[in-house]
Amino acid sequence: MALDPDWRSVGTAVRRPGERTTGFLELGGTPGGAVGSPVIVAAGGEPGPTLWVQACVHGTEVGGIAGIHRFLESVDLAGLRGTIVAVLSANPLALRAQTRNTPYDGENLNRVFPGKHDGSHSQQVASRLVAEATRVADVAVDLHSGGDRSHVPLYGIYWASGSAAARQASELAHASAVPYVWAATDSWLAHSFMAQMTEQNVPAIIIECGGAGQVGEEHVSGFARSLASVAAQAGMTHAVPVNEVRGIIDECTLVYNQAGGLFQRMVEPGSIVHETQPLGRVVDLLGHTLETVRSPVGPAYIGAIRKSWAAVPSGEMIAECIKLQSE
Amino acid sequence: LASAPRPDRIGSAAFVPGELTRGDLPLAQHIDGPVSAPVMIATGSRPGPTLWVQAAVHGGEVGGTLGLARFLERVELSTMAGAVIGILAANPLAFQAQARNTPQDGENMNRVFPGSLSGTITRQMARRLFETARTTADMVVDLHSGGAEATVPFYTLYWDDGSPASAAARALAVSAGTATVWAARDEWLSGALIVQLTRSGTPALIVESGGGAALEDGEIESFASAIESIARAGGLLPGSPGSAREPTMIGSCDLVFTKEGGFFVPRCRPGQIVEGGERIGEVVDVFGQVRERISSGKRAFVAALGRPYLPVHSGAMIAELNDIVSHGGA
Repeated sequence: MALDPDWRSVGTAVRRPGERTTGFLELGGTPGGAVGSPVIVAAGGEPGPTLWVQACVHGTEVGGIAGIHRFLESVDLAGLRGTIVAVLSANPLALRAQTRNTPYDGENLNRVFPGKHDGSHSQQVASRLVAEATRVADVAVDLHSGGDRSHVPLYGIYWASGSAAARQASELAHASAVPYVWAATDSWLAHSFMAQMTEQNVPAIIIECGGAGQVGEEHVSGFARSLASVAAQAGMTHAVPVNEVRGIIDECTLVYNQAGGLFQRMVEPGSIVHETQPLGRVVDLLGHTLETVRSPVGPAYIGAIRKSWAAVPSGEMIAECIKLQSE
Repeated sequence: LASAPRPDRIGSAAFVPGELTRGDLPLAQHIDGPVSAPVMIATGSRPGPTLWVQAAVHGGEVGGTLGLARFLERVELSTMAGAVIGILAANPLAFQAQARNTPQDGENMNRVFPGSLSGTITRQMARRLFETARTTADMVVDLHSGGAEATVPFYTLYWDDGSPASAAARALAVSAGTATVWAARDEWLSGALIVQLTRSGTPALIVESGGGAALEDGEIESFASAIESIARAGGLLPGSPGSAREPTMIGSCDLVFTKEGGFFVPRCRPGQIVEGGERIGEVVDVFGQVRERISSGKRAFVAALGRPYLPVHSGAMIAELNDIVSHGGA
């Protein structure tokens, strides 16, 4: 539930019923001046909830921006109940540098929410995003992908803390037109935007889709279809929400290699693997296999898998293996 | 003393009585081969304790590397007992890039000890350093500075948890000849090498000096002489450490961050004691206007300070302000 349901603007973008406006939300300072995010405020002709959607918490995950554009093109503002707030560059320095983490302090923005107003650059950005989102949003969606490194299937994540907001987030995730939902209890996600917004009583989910340096039509349409279904679930449109969930997953193991060389992928993103199943191998520059990287758990959903021929030193994140809880 | 018998070598560097040897210690694998830390071992002419000294856990902090090499080159091995293992670039990837954190994963190595072989490359390197030091060394010294962005005074730091290893580390820290010693309990240091070693029973301390993207010969000498004093206190070298004065003891540290972007202009000096409300520095924007005035919230020792006109974003760490526990004397 928004702290300020009668909000008038986000950054310099003003809410005007039936109109789509744009503006700038300041998130930090640099020696050359302010940095922030372009913002779109698409206000419906009818009153209703505010849907906050953001992209590029990780700078290379640009597919979410295209997905937001596609979604907004499909929205009939006159018939929309409530308002969509789109924050297109949630981590401006990382987007500019095309890096996953914030280049200035090296921090992973999605591990430091709710942030600190007097902390590091990433913590200050996180603090401003949460302050603005909790002020205006009734529901929130954070768009992610495998960036330039990994293939990621289309799936949803919510923070399964058991609270009323978490139950609403579960309903949103189930209605987000995805085949799998991660009902997350993994502690390393506790400081994600999704988890912290849910902790502050705003149901929030992550939608993951695409990556490996590519933004394909299926990724753009996947994000757009998910967002349209979430808006329907939130009561903002007359459309019927799409529930296509086939399985629930949780307890993610991040799998790292120890040998250095070139990685060759042996599984598909979104597939189910058994324990010890080879995920891929690391070969040296002479073509010898140095290491076969295996799933430490099973049956497990491949939530991310490194792309083939990636040059990897030891300690690269090769895969996310998320235990299948129910089908 | 270290529980296991001393190995014959560290990586490819051997222990040879009366000699200074060189080699490499593999810590991880790069795309085209091993990532190795350069190692020097100075072995005394008779048995004794093993002192592990490492530098450049943060790649840009090269004063320690040069001070360590200077000490190892000049130490008189005929009068030395035991051995000094010198790891000249503990984070080789950060050292090559001259960056504070490991470029491959962005991690700060001194926040991830004891590390993990099933983690990121920084954690794998940290694990191998930690295990090698823990199983071979009787005492450990980790050399740091303010790097490219900040300047620090010459001081020592040990983990103050009341254990026997902590008490031994304190004695070594006081012996080093600095005017200030930080008895640290701050939780954000818990992933530091010295904390993890102290908790596992090996006395360990940090020596800090200099930085600010500049290196004077005096700073290199500070590191070399501190190692020499610690080696005397640890029983490797004859004679007393020579430090007669009681150091100023400092404690809990506040990290101070900017909220504006621009250029940082210091209004105090590293090593100075500032009063509550006293100005630490200012952020001046590209138009020359003061955007932010930063003051100390308490009476504090300035343990680190951003260098003059450092370009800063919002969220730049520009000072470490420590509580003063007791004032030193002659």
